Amino acid sequence: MWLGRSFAGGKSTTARVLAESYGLEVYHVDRDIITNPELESVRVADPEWFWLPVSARLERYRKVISHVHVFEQARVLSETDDIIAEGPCLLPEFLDNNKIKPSDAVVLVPTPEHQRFANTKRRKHWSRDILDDFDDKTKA
Amino acid sequence: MAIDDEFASYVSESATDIRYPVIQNDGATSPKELANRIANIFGLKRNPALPGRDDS
Repeated sequence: MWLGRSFAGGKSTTARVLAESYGLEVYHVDRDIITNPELESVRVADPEWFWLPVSARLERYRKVISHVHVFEQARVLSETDDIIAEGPCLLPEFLDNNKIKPSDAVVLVPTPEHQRFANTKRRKHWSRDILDDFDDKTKA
Repeated sequence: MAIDDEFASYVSESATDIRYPVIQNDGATSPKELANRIANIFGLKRNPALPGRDDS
């Protein structure tokens, strides 16, 4: 079972609730990305992401997908458990390229209003993190 | 259109083209309700031994 999403589409919480209610194991693709040192330059969770055009975002996701071997990993995990794989890089075209059937995947997308609300929260968080690097935060 | 909106539209349209089900999250719907909608799409049956979290 595959749960793709756009940023702020529903977060990992939905997958976790689904797993708890229906006895599934969750494969959080993001965690493989975060722990992979080769993906330092293509991580999507950074402020620069907001200014990247769609084509550049897709290119980042392609690099992520090719590095972490998401589909191979999910197939290994599904040999012993019923799993739900979730992550922002599980875009429809990648699912389709890896022969994931429409009956095995759902895509979550945020409404424009929710996208803006979620981004505002993220930007405030990142701004605080950046300011932590300066002695004079007011001047910075 | 903001880039984020454009990207979400791209994701939604490409999913529809391939016939993947699309669920919109308005932020007001609880994770439990979203999970239930997804479970209905997949035809999952709740395991009574697994009560799940109450996020409603």
